[in-house]
Amino acid sequence: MNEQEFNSFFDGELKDSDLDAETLNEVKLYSEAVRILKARFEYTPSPVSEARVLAKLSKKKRIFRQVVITASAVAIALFAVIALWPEKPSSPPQSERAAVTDVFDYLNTVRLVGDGF
Amino acid sequence: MGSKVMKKTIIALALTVIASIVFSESFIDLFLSSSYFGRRTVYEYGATTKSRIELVYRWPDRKVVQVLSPIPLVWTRTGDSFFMGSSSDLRPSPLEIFDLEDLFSRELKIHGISRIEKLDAEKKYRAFVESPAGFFVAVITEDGTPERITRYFQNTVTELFYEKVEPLQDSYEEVISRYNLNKQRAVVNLPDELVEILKTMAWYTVSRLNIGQEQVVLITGMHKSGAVLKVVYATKEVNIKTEHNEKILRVAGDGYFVYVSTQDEQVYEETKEILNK
Repeated sequence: MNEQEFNSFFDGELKDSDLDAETLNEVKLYSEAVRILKARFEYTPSPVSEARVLAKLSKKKRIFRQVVITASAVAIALFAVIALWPEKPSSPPQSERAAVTDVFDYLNTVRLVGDGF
Repeated sequence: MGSKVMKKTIIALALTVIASIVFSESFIDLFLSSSYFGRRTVYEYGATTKSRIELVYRWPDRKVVQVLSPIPLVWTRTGDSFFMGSSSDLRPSPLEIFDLEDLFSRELKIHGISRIEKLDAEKKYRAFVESPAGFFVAVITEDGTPERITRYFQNTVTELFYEKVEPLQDSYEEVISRYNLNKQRAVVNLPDELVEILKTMAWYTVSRLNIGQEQVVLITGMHKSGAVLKVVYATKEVNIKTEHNEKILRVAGDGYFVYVSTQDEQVYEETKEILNK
């Protein structure tokens, strides 16, 4: 195929008679392909077919939404369990024990203000 | 003739002694039952030293003491309950607090007066009380007002001087209402074992030190029997080194450890019994 002639033909610079047999055949094939493509692009599905396709898409969306919601709920529940699970104290809370400094200060104060037992 | 004179002398002497006892008992009774407000100073010197200036409201079984120096502080006793803290936040004290006057009154009731001296022309008496808690000397006026109380205990002398004493008309409730009493929360959450051990001590000193990486409170003092007692309070287990012939007791409480060591076998057994209760 002579590409230059092919493109010049579609630019309107050459006529059918100016093309060699091979290029002319390619021009015919191309024109037919464009026609078929145009017919496909202009196709409109029947209402029944459209409803079926949309139903399939809607079902897929619903499943996807349910999966996302379920996953989110599981993630939130897991986070709540981790965050709120009562930790078993390895040692008594600070309030239950008297700190060394507190005991020292208290005993010194009693010794200062008192004169014996 | 001689025997008559002798009899009169003996009778006169007996009457004087009886009158003296009756009279002296009255000033002691007045002292024990009086209510007064006073300003006083306390000095202690010897093995330990300290000084205080304070105001005292005293009823026979209640007391409010406002310490002015060296630190502003208030403590009060009502029955068997003790409170301590600032005037705006008085809280229950795990330990009993006794001043020299309380100790003198207690030993006086237990052991009685060993001797009384009348201070002529001053309307005062000097009363002596001998007890295991010390040798007490108190100067009290004939109307029961204390002027000075001194205690000699081993190498330590503690003296309490009243600068001003006046009768107290206000009730305990009226005086204590000027302070904010919080009965719910103690000054410090002191372990019961430590409280019971400290009750057996005549006096103690407190220091802080590190054993390994752990800071502890070391209480060194004298048991009421005279034996030396060492107590360690820690919030974690520590390794206590004992001296020769020293026996150690260990208590593991809820977040704390108490160690008690002594060379005295009897004190060791007594302490062991207290800790096992």
